[in-house]
Amino acid sequence: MSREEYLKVLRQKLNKLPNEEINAAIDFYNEYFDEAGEENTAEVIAKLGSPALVSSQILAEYAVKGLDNESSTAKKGLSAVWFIILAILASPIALPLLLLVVCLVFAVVLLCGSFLLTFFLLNVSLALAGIVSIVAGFAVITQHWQTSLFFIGIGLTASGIGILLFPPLVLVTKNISNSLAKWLKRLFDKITRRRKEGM
Amino acid sequence: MSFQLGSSLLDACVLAILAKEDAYGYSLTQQVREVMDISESTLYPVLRRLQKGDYLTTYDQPFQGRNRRYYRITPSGRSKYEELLEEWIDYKQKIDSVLLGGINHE
Repeated sequence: MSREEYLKVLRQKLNKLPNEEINAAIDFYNEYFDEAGEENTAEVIAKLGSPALVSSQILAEYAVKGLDNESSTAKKGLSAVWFIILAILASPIALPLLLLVVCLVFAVVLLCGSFLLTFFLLNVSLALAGIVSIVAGFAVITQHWQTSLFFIGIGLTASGIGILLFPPLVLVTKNISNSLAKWLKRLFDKITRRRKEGM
Repeated sequence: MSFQLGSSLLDACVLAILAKEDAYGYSLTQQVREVMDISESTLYPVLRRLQKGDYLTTYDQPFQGRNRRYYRITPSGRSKYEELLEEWIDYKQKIDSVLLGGINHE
């Protein structure tokens, strides 16, 4: 593989990243080849490893950056999880190990996902049921005002609980996705380092 | 090497080298590789992360008709380095007190 091909493949593998990140990485490795000298191109490629390995390390690092900041959000955490899964899939590890890792990651992501989904649905259904109950209460107001009051009261309580539970939901989502992303990053580091030791 | 190297230790090494003098990507990688058994592709993501975290800045300098991008440590990089160094010394002493304890009692 020539240096041009190598950098081209690397660029393709990084295409999920913002342009600025792609260019910075390509510039770095372009300079790296220059510094090593033209005659050492093959050796540099051998030492760097495949473009897949190089790109997966960049993707994984990109994913977890900023997770410790105050400004980190649930959305950032979730996208970090996604990026690391992409990185793991892109990393050139042996198939049996890859399958194992994919199953493990899948199980854990599914577990966290279903927990969050349950929480979310509970929230939404409380709010919705509350609204329905309030509407029903108003519907019978001319027939039996006591029943009406009862339904409106229940409805307000249910929607109130639903709304109150919303901030904790966001917080829990953020924490779970952040720790999930960090755990995946550690797993990723372990896999790629193990691979290096084996060489 | 049988001991696992964490990413904080890698950060500390990079910051320490840059605290001494500015360096460009290739030479920095070689310097770190002299003491740590990492693959050559490990360093770029680390540099990028430290740069994004405002611990490092870069500047370009022409060299033989092309560009060399130098990394320089920032004041917050320096305090991060001192913080990591302190933690390392503390950790090292604790490990030493256990590991070296075995020698005198053979």
